Amino acid sequence: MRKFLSATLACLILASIANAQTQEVTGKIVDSTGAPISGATLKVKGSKTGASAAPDGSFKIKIPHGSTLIVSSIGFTPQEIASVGNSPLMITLNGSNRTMNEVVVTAIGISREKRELGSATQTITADQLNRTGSGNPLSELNGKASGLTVVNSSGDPGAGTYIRLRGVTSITGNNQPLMVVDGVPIDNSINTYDPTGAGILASGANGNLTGGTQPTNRGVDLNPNDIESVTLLKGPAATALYGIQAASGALIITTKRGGTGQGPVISFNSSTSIDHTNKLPERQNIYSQGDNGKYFGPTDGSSSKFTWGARIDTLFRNGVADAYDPNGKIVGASDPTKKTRAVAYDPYKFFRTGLTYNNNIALSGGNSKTAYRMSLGNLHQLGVIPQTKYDKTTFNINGQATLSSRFTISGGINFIRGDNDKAQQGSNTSGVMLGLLRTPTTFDNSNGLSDPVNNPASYVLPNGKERDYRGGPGYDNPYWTVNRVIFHEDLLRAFGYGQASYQLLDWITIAYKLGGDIYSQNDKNAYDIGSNIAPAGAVHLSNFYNQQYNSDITVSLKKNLTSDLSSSLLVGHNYFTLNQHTKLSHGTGLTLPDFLDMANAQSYTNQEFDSRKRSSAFYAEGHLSWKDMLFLTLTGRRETSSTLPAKNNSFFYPSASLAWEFYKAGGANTVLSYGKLRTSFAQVGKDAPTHSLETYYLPSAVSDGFTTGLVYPINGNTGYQFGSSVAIIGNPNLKAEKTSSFEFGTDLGFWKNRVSLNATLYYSRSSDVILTVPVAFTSGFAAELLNAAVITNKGLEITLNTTPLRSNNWRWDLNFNWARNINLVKSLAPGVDRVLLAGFTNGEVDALAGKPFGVIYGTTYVRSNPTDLKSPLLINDRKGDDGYGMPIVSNQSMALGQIDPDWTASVINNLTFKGFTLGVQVDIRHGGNLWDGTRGAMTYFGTSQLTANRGQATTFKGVAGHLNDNGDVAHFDAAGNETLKPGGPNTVASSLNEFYYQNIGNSFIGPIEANIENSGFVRIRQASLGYQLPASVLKNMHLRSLSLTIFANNPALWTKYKGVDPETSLAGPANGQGLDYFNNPGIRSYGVRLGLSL
Amino acid sequence: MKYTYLLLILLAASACKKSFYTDVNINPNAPSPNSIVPSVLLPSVEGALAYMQGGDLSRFSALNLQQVTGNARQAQAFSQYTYTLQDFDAAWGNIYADVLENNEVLLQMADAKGYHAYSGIARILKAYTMQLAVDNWGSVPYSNALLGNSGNLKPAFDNDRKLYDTIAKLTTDGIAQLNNTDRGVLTPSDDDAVYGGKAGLWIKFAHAIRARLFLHQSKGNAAMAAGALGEINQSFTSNADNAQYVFGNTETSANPWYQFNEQRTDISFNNATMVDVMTILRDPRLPILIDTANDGLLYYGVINAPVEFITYDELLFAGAEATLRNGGTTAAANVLYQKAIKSNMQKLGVKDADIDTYIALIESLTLTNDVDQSIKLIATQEYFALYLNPEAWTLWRRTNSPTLTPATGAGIPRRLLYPQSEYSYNKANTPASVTLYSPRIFWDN
Repeated sequence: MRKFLSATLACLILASIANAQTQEVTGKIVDSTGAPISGATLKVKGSKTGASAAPDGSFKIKIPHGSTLIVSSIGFTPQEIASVGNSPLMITLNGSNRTMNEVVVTAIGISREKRELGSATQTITADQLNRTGSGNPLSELNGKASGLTVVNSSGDPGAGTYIRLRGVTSITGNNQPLMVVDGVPIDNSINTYDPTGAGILASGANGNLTGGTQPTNRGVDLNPNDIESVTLLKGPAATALYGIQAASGALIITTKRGGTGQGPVISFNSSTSIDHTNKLPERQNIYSQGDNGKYFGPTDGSSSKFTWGARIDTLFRNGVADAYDPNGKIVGASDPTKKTRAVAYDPYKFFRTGLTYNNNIALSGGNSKTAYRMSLGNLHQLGVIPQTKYDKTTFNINGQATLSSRFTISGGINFIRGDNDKAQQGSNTSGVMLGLLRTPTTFDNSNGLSDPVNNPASYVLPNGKERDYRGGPGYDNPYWTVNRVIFHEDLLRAFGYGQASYQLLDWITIAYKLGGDIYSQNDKNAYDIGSNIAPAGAVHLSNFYNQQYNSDITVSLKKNLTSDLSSSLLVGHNYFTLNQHTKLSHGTGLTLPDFLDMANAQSYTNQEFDSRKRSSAFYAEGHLSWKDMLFLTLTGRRETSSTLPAKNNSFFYPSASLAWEFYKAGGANTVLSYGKLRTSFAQVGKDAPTHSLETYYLPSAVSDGFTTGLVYPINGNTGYQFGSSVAIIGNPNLKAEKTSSFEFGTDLGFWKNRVSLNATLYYSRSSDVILTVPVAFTSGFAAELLNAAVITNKGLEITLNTTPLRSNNWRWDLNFNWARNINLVKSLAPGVDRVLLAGFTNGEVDALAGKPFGVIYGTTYVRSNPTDLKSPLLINDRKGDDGYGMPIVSNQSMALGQIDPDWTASVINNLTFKGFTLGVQVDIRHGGNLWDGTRGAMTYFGTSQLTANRGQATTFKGVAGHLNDNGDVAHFDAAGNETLKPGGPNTVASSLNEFYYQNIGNSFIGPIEANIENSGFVRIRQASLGYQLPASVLKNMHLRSLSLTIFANNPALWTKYKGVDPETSLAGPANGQGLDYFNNPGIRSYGVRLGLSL
Repeated sequence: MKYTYLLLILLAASACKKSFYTDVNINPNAPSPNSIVPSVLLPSVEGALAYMQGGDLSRFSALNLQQVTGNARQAQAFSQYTYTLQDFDAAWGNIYADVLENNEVLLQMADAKGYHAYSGIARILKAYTMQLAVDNWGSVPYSNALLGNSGNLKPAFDNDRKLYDTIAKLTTDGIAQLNNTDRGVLTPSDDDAVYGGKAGLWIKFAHAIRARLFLHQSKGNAAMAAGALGEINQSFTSNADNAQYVFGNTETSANPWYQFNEQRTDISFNNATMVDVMTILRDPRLPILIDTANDGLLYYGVINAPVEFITYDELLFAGAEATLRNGGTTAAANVLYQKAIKSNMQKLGVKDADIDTYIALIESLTLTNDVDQSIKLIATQEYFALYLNPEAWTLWRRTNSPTLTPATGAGIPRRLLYPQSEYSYNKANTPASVTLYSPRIFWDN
């Protein structure tokens, strides 16, 4: 250490001798609020000398006398300081994405001033992240940019987060953007095995996950505390240089690093929050368990599955405690054994208060040549569902060194360990919400116990069988589920990079970067003996091992051609390789109860899924700048991918973009302070899934849609099959998908940029889109892979940033984001107009030709014109029918809803007064639908609030009629004769009775139409109030900074949606969004955050 | 300098020959087609066939015929003859993609390589599967079905009557292959879960299939009845010859009824017309078949219960019926009839004393000279013997016996609907306006 120090010292001395005419400048860089800007860079104009600020904003740099300092930081206006006076300097950067002058990192790590870009990007900086302390870097982005869709699948710890830029461009492939950390792509896969669903085929972007647990997408592994900024490259023009991986846009994540010329700085952040469910489906608590108005108890057979019993206020308990209720059996008012009045229990007390601790400590610093940062973070979350938890520990270390005036190296590595216990959800008899919401209000899942989670008497009967409201087969008691149906996931991951850059000549730099991302995810999912979904018990072990490496070599050339024209050129080569290994072991038939171990199983089956991929590419980017106001960028990339047949595996895509700062040509005035027009054209492609060129023999398995079926070997015989009900015909002629896009935009600044407006209009067309097209089983197969679909997206994105108030002590920033995307699936494949994305035969989300991607498709009510959803309902006029006077359920399916909203917006408020900062973010989603299958099933079972008005008389709006024997619309005329065409308006009063709710008024048995709901909302996403101690106080405390923030996440939500938080997804972060079928609830949190640095 | 090397290495890597890319795109979890042998295909075909028959087809038949009753979800709807087109996707998909496609791969491999025993077995399995398809759906794709991997994704439908001729030819060809003294280099043994590779038994099974072909067409057609008798004589001679698939003792190799009862619990076994009739007759098979105290399925519902394709007792019943239809004596038919009941009871494990008591006491166990009445008696007993076997529904449609009261208006279904998938992806070829009642299968008149 001492040797190193003395060597460094010697260097410094030598350096100072060499530059006798230098001065040392020290100081601090802060933003307009006085908060330090960590990592701000200082450069001497016209030279390579530079330094960066420490986390507390302080810096030290040696500069030649009389030189000009350029101070810049991502998200702030660079500032030039021409005559550097006496230090220390206090440099205030104005900032935060209000100006066009920020530097952004674009594809392949190229830094460029935003003003020079011809395509839309948006940067979210560290001070906007981490306000909620949720520890999920993806959900933190929610609402912070236009054109960005973020959907948290549920409030479960570790649940996945669906993320998308603009519209979808792929039907059955991945639509999520590429995640790039410090220039290296990292994995954002969904790895899951759902034994209740379609098995391994349910994994990935094309997953149809309807049961099991909420899957995690691996992007949530990042630690938001380590993120300096996230730049969104929204369209193909911005990502064309990245190639196939970034065809859906990219999130360019830059991590925090140490400042050169800075002693060690320790910063510590800690937040603690409490979490509650923020919205639950409303239940009725008037009527008891039973059927046809009569009470039936847990042991009374199939009538006990419903909550269509007697009014609870007419019922009593007999006081003789039994295994089902400590207050005894329910009896009628006339029963002599009656003791106490029956009461409605509250099933929702099942949920607990969640807790989240998020702690992070970082050490950073450096000398004039080197810098480093180390960070250790821990997120510890206890979910609102008992026994669920998530623990994530991250360690990050990075550094950079200037080895000579021409040679720099840098590198960083992240280690992540995750530990996650999840609860079952969705369409799954072990699903927590399924069991909970079907439970009648007269049955107490907790059995009156004070600690039902840890006391098996709540979920196990004295005879060892499960205690549930149906007294046997049906649905698991949620307390059983969280104790006896376990899902545990652990993750070990490392990713990082090393980079070297050498300046060959003043105008040529060669750089090489090698990055890797390796992880192993181990899941254990087990069902104890007696669980409804696997009565014999089962253990499933899954291991997902993933490694990917990325290599980029680039040569960049910079030259001023004339005094007006400067140019740069970058040529590079990329090599990427991916290896995925999945191993699944299944043990069925357990011997001992409450022993969820693989060795306890009686039989075993195993599966392996491996996939490898390689791609390489040459690419180039040329950039011309004329008079510092007109900028032209041309890119090209020729890529070769292993997933395509040799004859089609190389393809080229170009992009061109032009930006013009017209205000420099005399357009500026007192109102307009900045003006730019930009336009771009780009083409990108996507390759095929691995192993899609051939039809393969696979290990045999057979199932029939009702049962899990056979898995070979059977009785010692191994089986392989070529065709099967899930087999896909390979396609040796696949070629790359192609997306072409145009974009046009403007960036304007008014009144010295106190108001700035960015608007982007875009159009893209994706053709030859690869999708799995179903075929007739009589071909011997289930589907084939085709280059077939055509999808278009057009949209408008607007960002408006304003500073209504700015004075010495006050500052108020008010920023708006607004976006609308119009997607259209123009065609799917010849003869195919519908492809299932996710869901069930009664409640599915499809891609439908001629409609926007993500259509909720299903059965309807019969209308006077059955093909027109706008025509009046046909009200049954057959007197003998149970449904007389009620709407009629059709067996016709139609497009009923659309999952994407009409538009989304956010309003971000930031008010500072001296050391105080008040931040409020409001998000708006207008339009869009969800299928509320939860409410449908609850209505059928009689637990939904909707059924509280049971028995009430109503006259349904519509016209009298019915379908005749030929299926045509007809009605009975005054004489009682059947006549074609509908009759007059309905005048028959009918009752909202059990028949209506069970057969007509819900989507569980009745039409899907009954439960299509608007999923729009207005919500306060975040609210926070922080206080930063002033420097004068800190000095005495020997602290660099100290801040305290109280925050609320999701404190208020206004929505018409009647289920859980409308930001929900049964299929998790997969393409098939828009389904709610007993989804686990979302959460609201309140917390406090402490920030400290010394 | 070293960067130049690096650059060169990378350039070299990307300039590598094509296999640098194509090699990594080979699925390592799939065996090479060259390493596939008949002994991994035959178990797949037999297992899928048994699971499909014992699963969906068995439930459709048993629910239609009131051998069982649906008390929840889809099964409840099926009991009321409420079916959607999607309800037939699974069975149809299993027949074509899981059974027939792989059987075709087996058949072609066996023919190409001269594995004559496998060639014979594959033809007989194909004949049996096609007969199930025709008896349930009538006209179905055959001639250009199963060609998805060579580009034909929309096969035409073949006429049901002609398909019966095709099936007959498959059995003749199958028998010829099995009679070939050169059995081939690879021969079936334990991989054949039905007969352990025994050619003689497969030949008997082929004759049993042929017996059904004739019998199904024998109403008012003595020649067909005679044909059936001729086949029966060359077929099974005891319960030991039964064509059946025995499942395993693990959850993933379990019998389809066991799996359904474990995983769905939507079907009641107690509340069924068949149980009512057997109860009146004090049939000793009832407590063996059904656990009436707990509403459970016993004999055919245990984890490794067999799914029976064609059994000796069915052929004895068929013999009794064919004898009557061919103008044979009541006495001759009666012998076969009682032998059929006895064989069925022996198979189920009824004690000999109980069998004798039953036959002695129950009047309906002796045929009368009224042919129609006698066929009704035979069909009623066969209805018990074919419990959960989809052939029971074929029997009922041919004989309208036993007499059943439809659960709702339009009567008991006479056929299955084509599945939604076929209408969605092979619309041009799939017959339109098909209902559960028409068109009937060609032999159903």
